[in-house]
Amino acid sequence: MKRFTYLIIGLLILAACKEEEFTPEDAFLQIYDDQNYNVSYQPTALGASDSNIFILSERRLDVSNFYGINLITTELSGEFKNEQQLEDQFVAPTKDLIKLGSTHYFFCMDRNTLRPHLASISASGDLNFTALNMSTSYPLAAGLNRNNELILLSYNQDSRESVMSLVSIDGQIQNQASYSIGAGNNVLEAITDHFTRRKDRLPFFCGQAPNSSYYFNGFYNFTMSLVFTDLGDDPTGVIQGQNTDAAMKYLLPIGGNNYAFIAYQFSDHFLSGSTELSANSVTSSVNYFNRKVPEIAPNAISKIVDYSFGTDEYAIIASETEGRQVILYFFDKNTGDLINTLFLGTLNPFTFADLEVFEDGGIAVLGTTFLADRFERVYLQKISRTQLTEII
Amino acid sequence: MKRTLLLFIGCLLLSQLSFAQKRKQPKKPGSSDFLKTQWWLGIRSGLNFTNATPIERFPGFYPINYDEESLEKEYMDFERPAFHVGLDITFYHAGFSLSTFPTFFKHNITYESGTSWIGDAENERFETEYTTNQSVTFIDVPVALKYDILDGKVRPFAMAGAFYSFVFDANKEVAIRETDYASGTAITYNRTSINSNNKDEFLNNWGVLGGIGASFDFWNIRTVVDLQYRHSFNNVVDPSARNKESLFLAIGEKQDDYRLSNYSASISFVFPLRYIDSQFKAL
Repeated sequence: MKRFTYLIIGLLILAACKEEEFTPEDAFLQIYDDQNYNVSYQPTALGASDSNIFILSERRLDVSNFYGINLITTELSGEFKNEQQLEDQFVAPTKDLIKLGSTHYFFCMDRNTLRPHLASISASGDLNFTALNMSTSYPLAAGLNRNNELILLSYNQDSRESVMSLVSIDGQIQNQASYSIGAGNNVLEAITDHFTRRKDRLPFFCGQAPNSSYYFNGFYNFTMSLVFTDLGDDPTGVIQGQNTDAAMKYLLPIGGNNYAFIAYQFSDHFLSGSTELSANSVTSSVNYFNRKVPEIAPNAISKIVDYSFGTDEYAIIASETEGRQVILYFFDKNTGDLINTLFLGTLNPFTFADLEVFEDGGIAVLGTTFLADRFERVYLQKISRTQLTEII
Repeated sequence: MKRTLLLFIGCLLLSQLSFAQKRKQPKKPGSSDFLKTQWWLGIRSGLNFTNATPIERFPGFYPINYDEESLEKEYMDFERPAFHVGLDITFYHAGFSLSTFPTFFKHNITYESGTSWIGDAENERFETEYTTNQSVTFIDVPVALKYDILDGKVRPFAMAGAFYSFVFDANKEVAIRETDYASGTAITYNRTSINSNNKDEFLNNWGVLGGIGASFDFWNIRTVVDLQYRHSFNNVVDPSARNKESLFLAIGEKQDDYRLSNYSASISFVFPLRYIDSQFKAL
């Protein structure tokens, strides 16, 4: 009897030691379904205001081969609020929502004139478009500099140049530099295939380095290249890829000339939590091939974000696996060491589109899952800061 | 929670005291004290049927362009039997008994849900149907007052009380059936069945109980048969676990908030503690 008593008391104590609880906003997995048999969602970017989460998504249009734009707004708990289908005049959104104050920004283009527009989303979800005063070009990627100016990477087919522009939040071009893709080469087909998804999407991105110079991943000198520039006539350094078959995929400056990066060489991937990249010479991305990462799927979308716990700083590299799960690598920014790896996704295939750090210290992953293994729908998964404490 | 813990530990210590009493000088059976005041201890088991009543419903995924109600679950009332087993500890005095029966009490709950995707053409239609069997096991600690309506070898009684249940284990199985209209007519097939432990999704439970039964005194064993109804007042589903990533959430199977009601039939075999020697034989 005594043993039984001790057993029961032990069980009660175990029951009393309940696991930590989460509020609905802390951690969740939400899936947003559309009853239309023929609809397929392609989310591209994620952002959050004080009261809303914004999911930028692409949709097929009957009137154009370019993709139209949807904006899904949810509560901070991921509960669906509404979906706006933007006018089909606007297509091809850039793949980041850039937050300045309480407003989010992205670039897109007019499908008839191919003129880039700056789109803004207010904290309550209202959209506004401003046409940019620049010649016809395709908006490829967006970033932010330390003066709170937007960085736009675009392609000008008339001059066959990759164009870096600094754009104020009211749509004024503050500075601009153009770099030739090389004589005799035509990358328009690759770029239109990127937008229309006839072939795989290309890893365009841009940003500002710690030394205040800029970088972009785009076409330069016949190939997808990582170009370092101070917005002068010529690049200060180039890390060349190999046509569109090899290049950098995403990078995050982490101090000095050190970067966390993920890159691809044909169907192989390689990555690093901290590597010094040469920003003042011409090298090749394959020079930085350190180890094949076999789990990452060919053509997977990748992104890297900063994350910190007090003075500890991390780079989180997100991508998609061969097994259709999302994978997050946690690297120590100071040492470049891998700290942990987290897989997301269970029974259904899960693809990766974007990763964001929220103001409450949680991170959110955006992508698609396939309901009944056939209907591609948007999912949003948030991982709380408490959960991240256990992972890191 | 702490108060309930202390109450339960107190009950267990009382039962320990009852064991201690066996070392006292036994009284002979047949004395009037035997009938007036007695401790009984034994084992108890039986079957029960549970119904889940939704408090708030939550769809498995958020519909963008259709009615959320179409994703509501349909609960089966008192459909699948479940088993319970535990102890029966009773203190009897002058026709009244105070009983507690700490029990491993399993509840079986069944519900169905489904959705469909429809296109413009007749053959652009696809349906899924989930049948979910959820079992939850609690360590159930009831306290009930019994009144013996008649005296004698067969003693019918009525009882009422309350219970507190500590969640112990839970398991969910989702069977998926799909219907494809690819050829214009419906072809239905069993897709798969997913089974996983989901104890983290449940909370402790409490409520009231009432019932009727009868005791049969033959040889030195009392056999007690009873029928009980239990009604819980709180939501047994943990809201904070609802949206956490899981096998089930990924396929759009998400728990509603619900409370439980339950019918049970039990049989107990109990021994009079004051007249048992160290070999557990009645004197």
